Amino acid sequence: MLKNYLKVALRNLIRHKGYSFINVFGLAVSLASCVIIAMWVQKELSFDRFHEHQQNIYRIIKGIRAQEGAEADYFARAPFPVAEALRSQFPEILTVRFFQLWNQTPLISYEENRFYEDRFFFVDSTVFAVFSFGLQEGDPATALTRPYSVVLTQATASKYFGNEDPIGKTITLEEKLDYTVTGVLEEIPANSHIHFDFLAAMADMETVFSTVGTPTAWLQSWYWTACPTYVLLPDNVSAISVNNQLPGFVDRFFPERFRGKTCLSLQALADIHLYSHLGAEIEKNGDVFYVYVFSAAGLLILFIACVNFVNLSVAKAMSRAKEVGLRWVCGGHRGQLINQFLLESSVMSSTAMVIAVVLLELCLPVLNRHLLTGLSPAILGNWYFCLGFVFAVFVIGLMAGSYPAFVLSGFRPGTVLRRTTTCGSRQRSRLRRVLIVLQFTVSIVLGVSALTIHSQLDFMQNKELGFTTEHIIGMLLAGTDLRQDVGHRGDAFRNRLLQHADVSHVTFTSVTPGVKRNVVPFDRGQGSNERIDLPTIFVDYDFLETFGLDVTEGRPFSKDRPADSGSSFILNEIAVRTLGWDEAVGKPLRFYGADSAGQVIGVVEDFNYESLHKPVGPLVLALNAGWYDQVFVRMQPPGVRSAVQHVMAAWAEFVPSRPLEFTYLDDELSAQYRFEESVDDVMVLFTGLAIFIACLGLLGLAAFSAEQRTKEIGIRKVLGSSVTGIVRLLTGEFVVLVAIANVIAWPVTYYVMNLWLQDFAYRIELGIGTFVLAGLAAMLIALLTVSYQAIRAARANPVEALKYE
Amino acid sequence: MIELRNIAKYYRTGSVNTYVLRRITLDIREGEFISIMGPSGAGKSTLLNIVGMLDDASEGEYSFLGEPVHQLNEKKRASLYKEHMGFIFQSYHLIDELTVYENLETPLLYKKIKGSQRKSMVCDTLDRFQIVGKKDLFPNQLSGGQQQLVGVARALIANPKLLLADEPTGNLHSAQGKEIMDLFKKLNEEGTTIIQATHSETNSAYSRRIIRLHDGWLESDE
Ligand SMILES: Nc1ncnc2c1ncn2[C@@H]1O[C@H](COP(=O)(O)OP(=O)(O)O)[C@@H](O)[C@H]1O
Ligand SMILES: [Mg+2]
Repeated sequence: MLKNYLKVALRNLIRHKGYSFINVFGLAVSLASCVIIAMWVQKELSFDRFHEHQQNIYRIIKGIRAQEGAEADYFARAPFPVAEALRSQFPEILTVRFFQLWNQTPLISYEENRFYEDRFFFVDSTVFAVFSFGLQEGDPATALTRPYSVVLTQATASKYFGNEDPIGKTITLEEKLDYTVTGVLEEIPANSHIHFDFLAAMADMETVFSTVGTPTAWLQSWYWTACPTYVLLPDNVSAISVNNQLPGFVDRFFPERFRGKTCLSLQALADIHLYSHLGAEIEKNGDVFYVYVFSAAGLLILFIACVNFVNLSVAKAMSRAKEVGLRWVCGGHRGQLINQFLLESSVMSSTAMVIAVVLLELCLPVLNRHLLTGLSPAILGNWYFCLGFVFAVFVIGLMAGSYPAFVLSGFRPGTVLRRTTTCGSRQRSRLRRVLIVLQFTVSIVLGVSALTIHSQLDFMQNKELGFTTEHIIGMLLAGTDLRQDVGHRGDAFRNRLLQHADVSHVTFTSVTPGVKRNVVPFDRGQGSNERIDLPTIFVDYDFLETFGLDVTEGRPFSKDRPADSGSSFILNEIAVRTLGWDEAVGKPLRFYGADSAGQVIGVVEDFNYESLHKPVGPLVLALNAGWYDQVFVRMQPPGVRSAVQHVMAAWAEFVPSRPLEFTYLDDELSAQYRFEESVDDVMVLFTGLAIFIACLGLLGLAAFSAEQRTKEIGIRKVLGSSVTGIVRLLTGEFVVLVAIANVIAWPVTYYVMNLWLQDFAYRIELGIGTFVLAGLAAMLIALLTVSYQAIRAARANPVEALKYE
Repeated sequence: MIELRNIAKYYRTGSVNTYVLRRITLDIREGEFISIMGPSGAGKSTLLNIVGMLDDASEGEYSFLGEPVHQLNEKKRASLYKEHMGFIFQSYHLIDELTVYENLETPLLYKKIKGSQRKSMVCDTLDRFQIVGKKDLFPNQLSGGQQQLVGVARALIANPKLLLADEPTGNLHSAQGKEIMDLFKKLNEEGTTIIQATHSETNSAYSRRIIRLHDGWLESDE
């Protein structure tokens, strides 16, 4: 019997090739999409879970309050001395600090191989006791206990040493300090919130600091949020109890002036990736919002394909009515007929599953390279997932099969076998209409969301930041004498650069404007020594001109006034308001606790000195050569290319010992939105798929309804109806359905997208335009799809159609 | 064998009931060969479908071999049908996706007849209807007459006690029709009860009892 069923199923699949293809392929594509999304979600949820002790690992985060009692601003790092103090108060816990050199990418060299390494971390030797980062070679217990030892990843080792054995080799940090390789790290999993190529022993940091030019006093600073600091709590110590003791800890160890304004807190390791968006994060973290969005998108795509599957099965079931009647006549009873249909749709869905797996095999490498990095097919090795997947496919098969199975098998064969079978078709088409509406609702929701995400991103990429960003390159000064001796060498370098006709401005700064700023304590002097922490950029004379900023009041810094250095400040308009002034120029302001008085000399227009995730806040521009870490060069077209060459030549002349690494400011700015960009790509991809699958379904239905109405169309044509009239007859219904879908989809999307946009300080308005566009697009696509079938039906020869009876 | 008591059948058209059969009372004994006659639309097919349990009567009682059909559930009815009945349609109703062989095999599958026996039964039938050469063809590769022959073969393959035939020769030319009527006659002589709906006097001449329907009324029973 089974063979008989399978034969019929297979021959039916082949006879209705079009339907079968739409059904099976649509389901396969959506299953594959769902698995990909599941992989992505699984990856997001799995961050940092690979550490054996992950449930007991916490990160110490430090909060700073502007005033006592105010809301704290948290940072993902803690000051250097915190770890040791923690150990003295809680002897039972283990601590690990990571540290990256401040404001510089260290130059690492081995013989002729020299590279700037931005994933070079100093770390406490406890790192392997707390985290489960493995060593391929070397002993985790001792690898980092000796000063000046370092472990590196396999890839890094081959980069420096080729095929030679890395163990025992010596690499040099900043051309001065030698580190001995004591181990090779296993590859850091993609789902780690921290990635590194080097881990160097955190020992003798005074020497390291003085070598790279960072003040050694900072090692004792209780203010500088320098080190991502982690603790491993023993099983019998709860995070809550430690957390409760932290205020006491702050009072006990932190210097008097920070108490009350500083707070520490424990953050669970597993929460970092999805929930942590603090200042000074090591890497940009994910966001649980996207886990929800993508999960929803995956389910919706699956839903669309299921709707197709059900719709087409139901539509096609009409043509099976006769078979059902005949099977009854041959002695089959209802249970057997139901089984047959369920079996048939299970065969379909299993076929889809097989195709989905093939599609996955084909797509995963491409996707991994271009869109969603770090997806691993490991999830396919997970038994629960595979069982769930197969079960889901099975359920889809049953769902899709059950409608035709139960309804058709319920017809009395006498009715079914009558010449014209119109029975029950009204009820069926009502269900079908509801499903089409839902399907298009989902497509439109996805479409509007994708459009919104896309335009928000576009907006961020192109928003006027308030300063010039084009044709500007930036270089790090760390390790060069340009930084140590800005007065002479720096000036000479600047003048050398300006010799090129197309280099228009050169300026030294402490940070990259538009990306980062410093925070510096100030007071108003004159007896009022209340500490005020303000975002600050240390700049030189040409900063304003280089970045095209205008002074709206007062004057810019002037070389002719030596007092400008260190005691004159330019504020942005928001800072003026923050400090409560109407007229800022001339007001007293100085570095916190400075000896000499200082004053505000000018006001600059507001500009976005950080990413657009954050609103513009107060900003101080201060002139202070001791803080310069970067130099920016503004060039002008058309000579940009030769100007860059000139910069490289000048660098080689002034800093022969170090390779030049520069970035375009534009690139650096847009890199801040890389995560959103990848989200955007993925949304566009999956929305496209959703709409594609919905249209496949519509195509099938349109073909079916045209086929069903062949006779009606034939008669209408004989009676003189035009092709357009018939096309209108066939498409009208679908247009109404898509219109209803719009009405449902709009408010839903409006709500969700508004929620998403809240994350951005600068955001687009959700205009009606996006909605209308997506709605019209859906309508147009639906119309095109349906008309194709309608026109085909309408142009068919009416005699052919009527001969049937 | 069959007792119909006040059987009526109506369809709802709008708010009125359109009667197709009215108060039909009829007894049929085993071994009879009956023709139901009447003009087109008289209700012949409807009556035959009700007797064959392909359709339900709207009113009245129907007992088959002593079983009250109108009270049985679907499964019981299906098995009653499967055990005792075969049905032949006016237009050749075959399962399009199955070959001649497979079409013939289907009723035996539902009767759960074992493989080897099934095979020999199908082969016998193919032989008997001289369609061995067509066994691997699909219905749409056969002429109308051949399809009808397969339909008849399928109805007879499980040796039903009762054969219901709804204008079995309606789509055949007279020579083919005569062959089938001869076959019916032979079957009837071997003990099969036959009820056929027809409006051909030639065909009704083969039967021993003729029931005339007109507008759903039983007009005569001779
Ligand atoms: N599903 C139905 N709905 C309404 N009327 C029907 C339906 N099926 C059959 N009829 C009507 O029942 C009457 C009898 O049909 P039928 O039994 O096929 O007649 P016959 O076989 O004698 O030509 C016809 O008038 C037909 O129109
Ligand atoms: Mg009839």
